Amino acid sequence: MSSVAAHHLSARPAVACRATLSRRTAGDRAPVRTRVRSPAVAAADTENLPANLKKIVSAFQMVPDAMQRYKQLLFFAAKLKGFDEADRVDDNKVPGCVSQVWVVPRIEDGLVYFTADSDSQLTKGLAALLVEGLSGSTPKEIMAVEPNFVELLGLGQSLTPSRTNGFMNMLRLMQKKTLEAYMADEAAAKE
Amino acid sequence: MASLTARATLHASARASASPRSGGVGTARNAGPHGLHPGSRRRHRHDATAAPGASASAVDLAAELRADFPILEQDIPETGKRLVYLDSAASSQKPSAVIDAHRDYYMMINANVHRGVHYLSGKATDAYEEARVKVAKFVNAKSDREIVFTRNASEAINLVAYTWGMANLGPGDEVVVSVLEHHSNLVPWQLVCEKTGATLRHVGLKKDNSGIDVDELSAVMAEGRVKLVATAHVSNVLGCELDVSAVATLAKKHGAKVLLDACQSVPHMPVDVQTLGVDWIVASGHKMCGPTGIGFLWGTAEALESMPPWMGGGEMIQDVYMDRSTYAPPPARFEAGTPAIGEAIALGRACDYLTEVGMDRVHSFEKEIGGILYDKLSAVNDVTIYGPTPAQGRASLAAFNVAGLHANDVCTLLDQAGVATRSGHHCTQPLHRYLGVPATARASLYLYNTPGEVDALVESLTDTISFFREINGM
Repeated sequence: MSSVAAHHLSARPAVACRATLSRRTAGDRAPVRTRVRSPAVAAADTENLPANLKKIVSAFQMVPDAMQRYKQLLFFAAKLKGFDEADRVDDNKVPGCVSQVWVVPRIEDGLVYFTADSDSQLTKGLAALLVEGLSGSTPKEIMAVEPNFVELLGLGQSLTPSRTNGFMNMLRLMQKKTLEAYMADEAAAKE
Repeated sequence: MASLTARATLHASARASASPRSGGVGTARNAGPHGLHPGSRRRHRHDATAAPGASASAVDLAAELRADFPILEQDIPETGKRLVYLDSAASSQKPSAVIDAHRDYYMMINANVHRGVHYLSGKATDAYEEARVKVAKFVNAKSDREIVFTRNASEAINLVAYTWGMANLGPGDEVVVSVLEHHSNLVPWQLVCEKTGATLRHVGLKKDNSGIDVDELSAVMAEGRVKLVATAHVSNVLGCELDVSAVATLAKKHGAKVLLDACQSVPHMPVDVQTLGVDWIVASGHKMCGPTGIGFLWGTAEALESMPPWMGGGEMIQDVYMDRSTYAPPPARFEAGTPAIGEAIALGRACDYLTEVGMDRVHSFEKEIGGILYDKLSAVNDVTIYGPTPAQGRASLAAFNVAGLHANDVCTLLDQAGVATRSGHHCTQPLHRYLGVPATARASLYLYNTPGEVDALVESLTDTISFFREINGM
C-alpha cells in the first residue's frame, strides 16, 4: 500500500516511469526524454510479482511498438475462456469500472485459480493477464502484488494506478476475493 | 519535431507573453512554431463579411483562433502524436487571455473582496464585481444582481434545489426532469424530493431519440401537480437542443417554474435569458473557456429574492446576533465565504473573449463543423451516432458506438493516435440505459477545432476498427 500511496502523492515518479518505458519505443526522441528520469523510478518493479506474472511483464517489454503491445493484450483476451455464466453476478463484478468485469477465484490445494470476463476487449485482456499471471500462486503471493507493475506493460497512461481505474479495482477485487476464499478454505479445513 | 522541444518553446513563449497585459482574440501572443497570425485580430473581429452562414469564414474560425490556445500546440510524449483535443463538452481549453487574467489577479491585485478598506481589496472587489457584470451581459441578464457565482454548475443546481426546492416543494408536488439529464440535474432533485415528500417524474425521448418528448411533458403537466421542470438546454450526449419556448409556455400555463441546465448551450451559442422565458439557468465556467472552480446561476430577480439562504458564512449576512441573523439580498445571500475571486475574474475575461469572437460566429462555425463531424463519422462502417441529424439541429458533438466494440476500447486506441475523446456514460446513466448501451464514445468540438482534426478522428477511428477486426477475425 505504501508505495502506491507515495506514487499518488508525487507526479514525478509517474513521469519518470513513463519516460523509462518510452525510451525503448520512442525512436529518435529517446535521448532527450531520458533526461527527465529520476531515481524514484523504482516505484514500479517486478521483484514481488509471482513468476508467471513476471514472465508476462517481460514478454510485453520485449515488444517495441505500442500497437503491437495492444495486439498482444487482445491475444490474451482471446485466450480467456471458460467463464461460468452463473458467476456473472454483482458480487463478482468489479466496482468503479466503466466496462463490466467479473472475477472469481477458487482455491485448490492451497493455490488460487481465477476465471474472469469483461465486455471490453482491452479490459478482458488485462483480466486475462492477471488470471494467467496470478493463477497457481499462493494467497500470500497474490496479496503482495502492487498494481503499479501495470505501467511496465507500456500500454499508455490510461492504465497508471494514479487513475483509480478499472485495472486497479480489478486487482483489488481479486485480492479481496482471494482473502475471502482463503478464510473460507481455512474455516472449512478446521471443521 | 521532437515533442520536448515543442513543449519547451511553448513554455518559454508562454512566459514571455505573460507580462504584457493586452491580448485578446487571435492575437497570436504565443508565437510558437504554429502561432503567427499577424493582424488577425483587427481583420476578423466584428467583421461584417464574416456573417453567419458564410461557409468560408466559418471554417476559417478555428484557424484564426488556434494560436490563442497554447495547450493545443503539443505532441503526446508517449506516442509523439500531435494532440487532437475533442473533449470540450467535458472541459474546454482556455485562451491565453484567460490564463493571463487569472495570473494577473494573483500577480497584482490578490486580496479578499468586499469590506476591505485598503487599496488591493478595493481593486479585487472591483474586478470581482466587474466579472459579474460581464457574465450578466454575456447572457443578457437585466442586472448583474441576477448572477450568483458558484463553484460549478452542479452547485448552482443544488443551490436552487436546497433553497427554492426545500421552501416550495412538499407532498403532492411534482418535479419533472427528462431521461437525458446529466446526473447533476437529476440527483439534487432526487435528494430534495426525498426530503420534502415531493414526487420526481421524468419524461422520455421522441421515437427517433432526437430530443425530449414535449408531448409527454405536456401530458404530465396537464395533471396539474408539477411545480418545477428541470432539464438540459442542450444534451451533452445527444446534442439535441430543447424547444425552450414550448417548455416555457407549458410551464407558464400550469404555474410551474423552469430551471435550464445551460452547460452545453452557453459556451456554444448566444443565450439571452430575457427571451428564454425560464426562471433559472446554470452554467459552468470551465466549459466556456474559463477556469475550473467557477460557475454561475442566473435567476430572475423575483426568483432569487424568494429564495432563503442555503450555506451560512461571511458576506451572506446583513446583521449577525448570537441567536439569529438577517441576510443580504441576492446575489451576496448565496455567496457564503470567500469566493473563487481569481476564477470569477478569469471567467469574466472568458466572456469578453467569446464576445470578441462573436457568439453568432461561434454558433454558425459549430453548426458547420458539427455537421462535418456527423457526416464523416456516420460514413464510417458500423458506426451509430445517437441523437438528431444535423438537419434536425444538433450541437457540435457526437456520441457514438462501433458495432461489436466497447466504447472504452475504441477511445483507448484513439488516444494512441493522439485523439482525445471520452468514453463511458458521460454522467448520464439513465440515458444510456434508455438507449440500451453500456457506454458511448463521444467526440465534442469547440471554436478551436479544425476540419483537419475531424479528419484525424475519422482516420484513427477507421484504423482502430480495422485493428480490432483484424484480431477478432483471426
